Amino acid sequence: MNIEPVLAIRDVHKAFFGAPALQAVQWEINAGEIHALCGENGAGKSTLVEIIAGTIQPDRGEIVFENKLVSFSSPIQALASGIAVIHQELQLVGCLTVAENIVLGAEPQNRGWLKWKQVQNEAARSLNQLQANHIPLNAIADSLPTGQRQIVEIARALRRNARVLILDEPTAALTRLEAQHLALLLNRLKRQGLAIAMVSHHLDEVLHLSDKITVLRDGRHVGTWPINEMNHEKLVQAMIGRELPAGLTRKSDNLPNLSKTQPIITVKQISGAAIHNASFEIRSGEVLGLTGLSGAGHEECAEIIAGEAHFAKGSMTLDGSAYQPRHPAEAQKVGVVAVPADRRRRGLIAALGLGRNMVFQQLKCQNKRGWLLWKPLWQQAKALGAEHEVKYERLNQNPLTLSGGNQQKSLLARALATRPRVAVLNEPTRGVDIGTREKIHERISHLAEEGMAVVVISPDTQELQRVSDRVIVFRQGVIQVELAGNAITENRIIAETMGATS
Amino acid sequence: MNSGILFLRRRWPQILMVGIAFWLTSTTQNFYSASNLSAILTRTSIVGVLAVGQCCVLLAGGFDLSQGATLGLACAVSGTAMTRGYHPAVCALMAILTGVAAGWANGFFVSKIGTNPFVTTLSSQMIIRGLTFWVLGGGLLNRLTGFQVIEKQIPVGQFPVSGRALMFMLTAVFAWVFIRQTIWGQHLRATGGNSEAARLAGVRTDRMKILSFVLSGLCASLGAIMQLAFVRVCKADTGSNMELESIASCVIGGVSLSGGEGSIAGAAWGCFLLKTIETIITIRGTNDNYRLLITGALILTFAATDAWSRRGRRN
Repeated sequence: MNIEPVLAIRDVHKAFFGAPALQAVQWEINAGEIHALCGENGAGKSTLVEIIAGTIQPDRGEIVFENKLVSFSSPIQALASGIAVIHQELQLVGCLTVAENIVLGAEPQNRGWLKWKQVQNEAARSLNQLQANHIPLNAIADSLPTGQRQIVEIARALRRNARVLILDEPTAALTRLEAQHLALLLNRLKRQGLAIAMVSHHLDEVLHLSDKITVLRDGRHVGTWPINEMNHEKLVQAMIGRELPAGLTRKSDNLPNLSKTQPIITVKQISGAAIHNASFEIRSGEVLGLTGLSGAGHEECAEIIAGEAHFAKGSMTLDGSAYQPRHPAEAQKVGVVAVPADRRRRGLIAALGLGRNMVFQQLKCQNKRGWLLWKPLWQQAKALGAEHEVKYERLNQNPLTLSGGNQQKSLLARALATRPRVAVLNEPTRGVDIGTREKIHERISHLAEEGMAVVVISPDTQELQRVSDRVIVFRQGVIQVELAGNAITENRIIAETMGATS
Repeated sequence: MNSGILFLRRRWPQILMVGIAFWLTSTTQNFYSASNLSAILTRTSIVGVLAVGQCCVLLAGGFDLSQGATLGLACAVSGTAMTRGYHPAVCALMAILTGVAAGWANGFFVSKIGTNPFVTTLSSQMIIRGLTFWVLGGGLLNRLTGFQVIEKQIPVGQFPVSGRALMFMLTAVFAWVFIRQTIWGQHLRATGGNSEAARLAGVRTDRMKILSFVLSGLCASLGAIMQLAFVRVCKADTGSNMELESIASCVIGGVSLSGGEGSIAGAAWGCFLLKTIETIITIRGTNDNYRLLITGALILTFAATDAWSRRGRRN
């Protein structure tokens, strides 16, 4: 086995809008081993993977690949050099066949004329290497199950002579059986001398499959351990690894005072696309956290409450009368307002400018028979900007040019300006710098104290522990557990989301 | 960066276009006369009204290829009513109802059924043109003098302006105010700018899309009334290709084809520039065979400048 690592990351730094994402990160990957990269959301795992893949450039630091200093300006370059990244969202062209996808980008050709026979042969050989002959070469990629599409993508990487294979959340979308097949395949590739790195949230899988584990936390390298020195508890400890900062602990450590809070929305046994028989209450004056692994059902639950998605079975009531919003506008009419997680695509409307975005949900009250009263609206936009401490140059600038934190603040301003009774906040601090994160957390607690019902949907366990009075953990579409008061700890939430009750 | 410079950079294509027009006009003899400018405004009017409607659809993120055909059908319906001796007001109302119905149908398919706006309006163009043939029974209508009032010259200050030009300007001003100053205008732009975000913020995006197509149909029917006043004849191919001119006007006026960005004033101004350049080509005695070629080249130049000035603006 080689002593020198195939791929070495040395002292890599990267910051986004001044917020550090990676600081002095080290990582070494050896041939013939599976190396897992672990950490919470926002720890910097995906940033590191994207730097290796050449999607983004590090601010400082070096990448050494096969004893040569490299710097990739695009994933194409990285792949050509021998580093392949398999993303969670698979990068196949859905309308092409399996064989066409495998040779895509390096097709056997003669002056631009495709050699179709060779395409078939080479694709077949690549699949054969992976013992995956059962995948039909001429099937359309989109028609295959996720597990097989993943194998096709690995085949494409190996045909390009990849020596390093990096998989980002490879089993997130796989069935249990497919995940087992993948584990066998990765072990076989490892024995053939490939260097494999894997980013994963499934701790059991990480402990079962990998030879080494590296943990990142808050953009820093915590440590690297061989698998025999690691166990479940130690890993969780390394990932969280800190005491809660003083003064930022939860506002009350007692069980929520049920006499003080009143149920507003009661959800009874609703089922939808991903959730089954979920029942819970949303109460005024408290912060309710909804969490789970991606796709576990908490996201859909939030959409149903805000009228963005519909439920198939069950019922919801608001103040005791039936509540069945068919459109977000209907939810907003009765005081239920949501802030989406994807600010760029689902939140801000770039064409309107920042000021109009901030007062957008006010238009319905600030008008005279449909004629807008722009003067009070602009004043209101200014006031909202000041109140929520949004930093901007001009009120009519494109809101997407703001930093993530300021984008989030302006969206919060927009939603809260309607004085809702229920605020559904989807990942309120995703991609937000630490300082703004503190402010947003303070505001959430404050809103609940004023009597608003706040629902926070977040995969961020630290955030949930800090702000919520109750936390509902979803797992595979059903409510795994409802935690309250002192029972809300990061360890408990993580354990419950993964279903690994110790 | 200084907002003035930013504005200039964003408007670079329009500035170029005005520059070209200015250079051409200043080298053309007797161009700057009130009567000439008024004549250009009159020539602009019909396509200009269509451009206003097209702009509404583009702002809401759609695309309307059926405008010319709708104009034709509205002409045919209202012309038929006229030959049967109905009062001009009734004929005008019938034209407007035709336009609104066609626009509503387009909007219904695009927003409720979810068909692509390009395909929807391409096929409705054919269907509406087919209906026009059917209404006219293969023939043509002439001596349609019901809307003659509109052709009158109305003195504005010292300058005589045709009623048609006045109608165009009024439509443009009204639509401009509607888009800028009403909640529906704001929701229309939001729908085109980011349909999903607008929906989540509580905008009935499907209704807004229908509204935009209805406005476009309404403008087409106004165009039909002006067309009848102008030529007094209605044929089966009345209004053909006008939708392409209206789209070109919007593009020159800086209205984004991907929705949300642009203004009615831009669209109206773009149409005026287009017609100015066409007029100059005619006045200078350039062979009329080159008119299309030159106009096309100018629009392409414009679009290229626009793409160039946008480069690197995002992110």
